[in-house]
Amino acid sequence: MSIFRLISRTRQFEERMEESRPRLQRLAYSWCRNRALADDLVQEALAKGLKSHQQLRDENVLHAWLCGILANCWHDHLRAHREMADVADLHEDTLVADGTPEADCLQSEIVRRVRQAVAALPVGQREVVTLVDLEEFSYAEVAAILEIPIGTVMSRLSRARNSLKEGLREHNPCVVAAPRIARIK
Amino acid sequence: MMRDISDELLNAFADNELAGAEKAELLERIAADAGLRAKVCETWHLKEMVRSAHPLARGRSGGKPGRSRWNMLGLPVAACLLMMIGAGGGWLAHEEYGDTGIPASQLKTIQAQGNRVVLHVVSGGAKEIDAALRKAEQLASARDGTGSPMQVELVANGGGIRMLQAGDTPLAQRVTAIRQKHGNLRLVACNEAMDRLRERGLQFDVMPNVEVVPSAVEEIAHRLNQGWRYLQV
Repeated sequence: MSIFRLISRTRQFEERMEESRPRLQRLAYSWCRNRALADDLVQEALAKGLKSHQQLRDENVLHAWLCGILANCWHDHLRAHREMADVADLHEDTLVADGTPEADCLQSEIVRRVRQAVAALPVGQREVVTLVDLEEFSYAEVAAILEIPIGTVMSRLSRARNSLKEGLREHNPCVVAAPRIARIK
Repeated sequence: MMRDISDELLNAFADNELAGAEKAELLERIAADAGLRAKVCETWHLKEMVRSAHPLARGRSGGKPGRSRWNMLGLPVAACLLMMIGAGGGWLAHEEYGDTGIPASQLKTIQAQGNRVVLHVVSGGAKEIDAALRKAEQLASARDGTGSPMQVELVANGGGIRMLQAGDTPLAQRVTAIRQKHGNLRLVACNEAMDRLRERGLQFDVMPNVEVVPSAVEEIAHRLNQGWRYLQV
């Protein structure tokens, strides 16, 4: 009976992990901009998650926990391909997007520009901005996932958003309209 | 004491990371400063751009990214209008002004300015939802300067969408009762917010008599274009 329960619990855990897969894939893709690599990273993260699921004390934070594992897999990948200690400052511009010209044509220009702008951020900033904006994690959760202080989360987020605002200025109406508002006032 | 507002603090506001006195103080500053409003608006818009550029792929294989949830060319107009809140025809207020409803003096000003108000609920906190319902009732019961009943539109997105969830809960019963009592109160749910809940695997259905619009931001912008007043909770 206990073995049956154990198998059943493991299966439930696997199912819950699978529910996270699409979000993990989106996150991984936003980091690496390579569909095949993103799938590999997610698969690796889920396998590691399953192997070490006993370490998860609160199943309510399963997704955040998996995001942390995914971040570690991603950092390991970067370290394996670059001889650098601090991946946070890394611009891994050798990783190119896998979109074909035809696929690019189907996407709107703005979507393409936004993805490019996010991909151009240093790894540490990119991770923070995607965890906050895509996954809607709190700053404290992001700090726990990436194992960095909250202050670092805030400063990286600030730098990331300033870069994105600058790069996407022409698509952000608030920047253009601000002087007009000032005159009204 | 007035202090400089850093980008980090404005980000924290835009990401709903602030609470209590700190949030109240910043809200006051933002309401009074067009430059700060522009910065916050720019950040909100940026967040939406990042989110929409990375739609969630359905299914296990991941596949190719789906289509954007909203038209990025359409949102700028809405975002601009939101930025003008407080500087142009609309006005900005928040729950920190008191949890007993809208102060009499402010209500008087609203009544003098017209009879159409859009009430924007972005937070799912119990206190904020309670404040939103109090204000909705207060406005729906009021009359404008000419004696005509007010038209009130309660638009919920973000965490605020929770207040329009169908179910046999005290909150749902309260919202339904208020809606039945006031025919001049329209309840509107944001489909983008509902999509985000569904992305997280949460089942979400709105209660009857709630209208679903593609985007709360666009709905509010539309109302502001029509001359409605704006109140955020």
